[in-house]
Amino acid sequence: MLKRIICFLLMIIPLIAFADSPEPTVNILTWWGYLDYPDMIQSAEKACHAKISFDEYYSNDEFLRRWQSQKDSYDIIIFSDTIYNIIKDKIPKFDSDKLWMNSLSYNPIVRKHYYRKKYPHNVVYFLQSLTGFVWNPAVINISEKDSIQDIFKKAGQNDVVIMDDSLEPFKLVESTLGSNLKGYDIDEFNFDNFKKLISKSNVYIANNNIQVYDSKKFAFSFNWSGDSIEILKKSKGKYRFFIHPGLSYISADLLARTSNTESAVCVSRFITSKEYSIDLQDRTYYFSPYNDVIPARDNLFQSIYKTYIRLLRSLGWLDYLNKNDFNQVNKNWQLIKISLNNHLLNNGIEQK
Amino acid sequence: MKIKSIKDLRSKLHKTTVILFLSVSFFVYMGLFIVHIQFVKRQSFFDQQEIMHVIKVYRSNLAESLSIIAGSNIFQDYLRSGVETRSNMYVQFLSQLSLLRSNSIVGMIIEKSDSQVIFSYGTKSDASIKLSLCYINQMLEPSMGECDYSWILFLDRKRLFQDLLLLNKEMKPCADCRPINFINNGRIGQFSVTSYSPLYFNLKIANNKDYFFYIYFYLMTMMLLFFFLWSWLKISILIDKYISGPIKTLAACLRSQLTVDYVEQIEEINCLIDGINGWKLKLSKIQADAHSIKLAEIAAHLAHDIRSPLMVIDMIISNFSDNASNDFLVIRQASQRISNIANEFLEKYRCPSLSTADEILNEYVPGLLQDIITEKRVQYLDRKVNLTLKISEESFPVFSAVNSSDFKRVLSNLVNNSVEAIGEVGNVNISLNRKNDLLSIEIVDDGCGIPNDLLPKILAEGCSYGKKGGYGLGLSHAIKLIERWHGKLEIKSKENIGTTVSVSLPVSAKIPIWFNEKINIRSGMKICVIGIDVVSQVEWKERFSDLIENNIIDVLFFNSKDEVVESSRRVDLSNAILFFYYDFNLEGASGLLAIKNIGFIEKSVLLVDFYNNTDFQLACLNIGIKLIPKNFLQYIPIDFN
Repeated sequence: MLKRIICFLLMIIPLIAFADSPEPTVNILTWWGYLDYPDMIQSAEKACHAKISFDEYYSNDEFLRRWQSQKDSYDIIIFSDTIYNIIKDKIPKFDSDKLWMNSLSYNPIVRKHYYRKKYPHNVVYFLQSLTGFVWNPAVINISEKDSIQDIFKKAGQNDVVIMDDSLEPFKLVESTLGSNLKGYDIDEFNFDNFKKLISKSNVYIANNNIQVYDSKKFAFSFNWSGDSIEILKKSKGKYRFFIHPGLSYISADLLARTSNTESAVCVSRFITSKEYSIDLQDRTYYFSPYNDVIPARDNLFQSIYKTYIRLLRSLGWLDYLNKNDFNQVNKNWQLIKISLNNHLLNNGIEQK
Repeated sequence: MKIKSIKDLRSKLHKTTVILFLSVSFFVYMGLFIVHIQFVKRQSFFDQQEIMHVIKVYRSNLAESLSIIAGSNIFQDYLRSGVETRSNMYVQFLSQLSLLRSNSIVGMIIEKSDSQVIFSYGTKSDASIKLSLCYINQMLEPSMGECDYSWILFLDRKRLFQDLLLLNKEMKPCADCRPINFINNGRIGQFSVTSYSPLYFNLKIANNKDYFFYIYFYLMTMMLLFFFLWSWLKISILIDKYISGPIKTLAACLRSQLTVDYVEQIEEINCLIDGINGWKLKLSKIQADAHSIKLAEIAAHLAHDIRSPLMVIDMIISNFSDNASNDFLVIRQASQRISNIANEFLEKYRCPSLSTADEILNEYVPGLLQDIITEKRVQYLDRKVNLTLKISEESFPVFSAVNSSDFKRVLSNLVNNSVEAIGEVGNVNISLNRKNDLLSIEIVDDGCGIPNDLLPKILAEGCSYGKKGGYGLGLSHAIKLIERWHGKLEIKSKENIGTTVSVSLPVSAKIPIWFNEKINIRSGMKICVIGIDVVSQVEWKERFSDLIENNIIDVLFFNSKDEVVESSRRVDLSNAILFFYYDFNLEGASGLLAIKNIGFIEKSVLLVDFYNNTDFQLACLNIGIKLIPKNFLQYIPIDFN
């Protein structure tokens, strides 16, 4: 009887404790749009008995600024693998975390890549992406044979959107100069070369879903595949998506658990689970790292996904820069953005 | 309106001036009114612009503050953060919002595009603006940016109104003013306005009253009045001076029959005056002519009636010719003059155009003068008036182009005047002098004289002085006649002392052939005088006394031609001059015939009373004998060679 009472108390005390104490909050810093699905968040909250609060950012710069100013307040961070080297020292390592075991179900090529990077156990792939061109056939025609310079020249004075991420534009400039990523000279990533690259086109630098895409002068955008598919879908078939074998790269977003709370553990596992990832893939049009997760809802995305899988082996991955180089590239990119704004003003083309 | 007088004309012109003034005033005031209306409209437009400007400034300031806040990292981080982070950032976020220093914003809400409220602060009000927060990355960009958030601002109307007034203290609320919307387009700065509660303000600019309009109005009125009065006065002055005055004076002169003898500035009026004067003169002449005709008729009757008794007188005188004396001679001359006058009147009356009464001939002036004086002496025998005639030696051969009858009449009148001016006792001295080409006849009396002020009137027609029953026609008529002969009449007079009348006439350069102007004497010459009485012989001797006493000449007197013929047989008369007296009846033959018969034509000179008889002159010329007026022996120059 006493055993039964003790057992009952042991069972009831935690319940009472849970009932009295408020639900813990898991604070997440993430790319914009990844977690902006209330039903999925609610399911995670329900599963983990925690409140999820997430802050969104629009660029790596913003991530780094917010991370550096409030890193202790975040339990989970979702960020681009290109900046992993920049923050890896600040990410706590939880070797006991079994989060890495997600990789066992990854696409083999992705898994191989994951292993090659030797991430801590609490850092896993969240979603993957592919850079490509969304182009407007009414204004421009892009083919595999076109260099990036040709593409810009074809754009003429029309509107062009380039993602606001330092490495991808850097790769474009390097491509213009005929170098490869490893043999680059970061100093060559400057406004003059960028100006040569963009020629006379009216360039917008943005990651979010700006209204340039509604313009009749829109020529093309160099975006991540998820954003590209969003644009394609909004264009209702007007635009095309093109994966350039020489200019498109694969990149991945990582999730790192930075807090060792049970809620954080739970939420990190939940939102990196295969089921959640597949659901998220269908919603965000970013690729899940898991194997055999062909999108079922959207034919366009399905088609692109198949292309992605087909090219996964051949396309290059954006390599990681060391901290100094990344800071230098990032700084140059900021300068280019400022100069670009002035350049436009000086040429009477105001960035809208 | 019919203009019947100068007064009507003046009234009409003044009415025209008033109408002109009113018309000009109407257009001026209309123009001023239109300008004023335009000015008020433009002022209203500018006021509206000023109010709009104030609102724009306020909106711009608000937009600038909102942009600074919305562009900040804190604000954007807050938007993109979850509940947890927002809770942590709350104070920091409020601090950022405090940069929005606007009293008029009393509350705000920030919400996501799915209407999820991210932030709410302050109170809600009925006036709100919903701004769209659109970003390209981290920059506000309302046109191309992604608009995931909205910022709703709640405004307090009163405070907003006060804030607007702070920007322009001349702005005042105005109930009847056109409402101005605080948000007049779909954007405030870098924000799109997605919705708003109407925020209308009835404002006006409290400008100073437009006193300039009233000043202009006053000045314009004064100017118009000035010009009106000036025009009125100027028209009056001009009418009075150049039209009304002259015409009135002219009319007054015509009414009073005075001569219009002034000169006006207006050429046309002067022309009118000249015309009136001309017509007046013509009228006077016509009247005078009518009077003259009437007088001429009377004179003609008179002359006709006079001729019969004159013929009787002439007949009687001719019966006494053998005993011719000076008295008979005077009577005969007077009778002859009366006869001539009567004949002239008749000629003038019967055939004025053929009348020789006005004929001007080369007349012997001393002879004419002597005739007059002789006549006047007889005429005034009953008066104790001494009439003298002095003829200078150089005046002996003086002829002048005059009408003898008129000349005598003029001189007769002048002498009459002098005699009548004397009263009972006095002297009238007539003298004839020559100076170069002018002869001068002076009639000097010691009568009552003429007052200086009356002298011009006497010279004028229609006046006489000191003469009972005088018509005043004589003197002026004399002047006209003398002027016709190119001469001049002057009167100098002193009251109670006497009067001097001077008649000057041009001396005729041509001396008639029949006139013997001088006697050429040579030593040993014999002067034969035929047909004079003893008294006259004494006169001759006295004239040549010096030559006789010095035995240079010898004067012989003969009573008849037979004596001359007989004497010529005894005495050599080849060196002689024979002076025949025509009046002497040489045995029944005429003097001329006797001279011709004697045979000394070239040495003979005839002394006659009727030297001015034209027929006689012609007869003398025919036989080549010259004449000397009978009573002028004492004046004839003697040339002793």
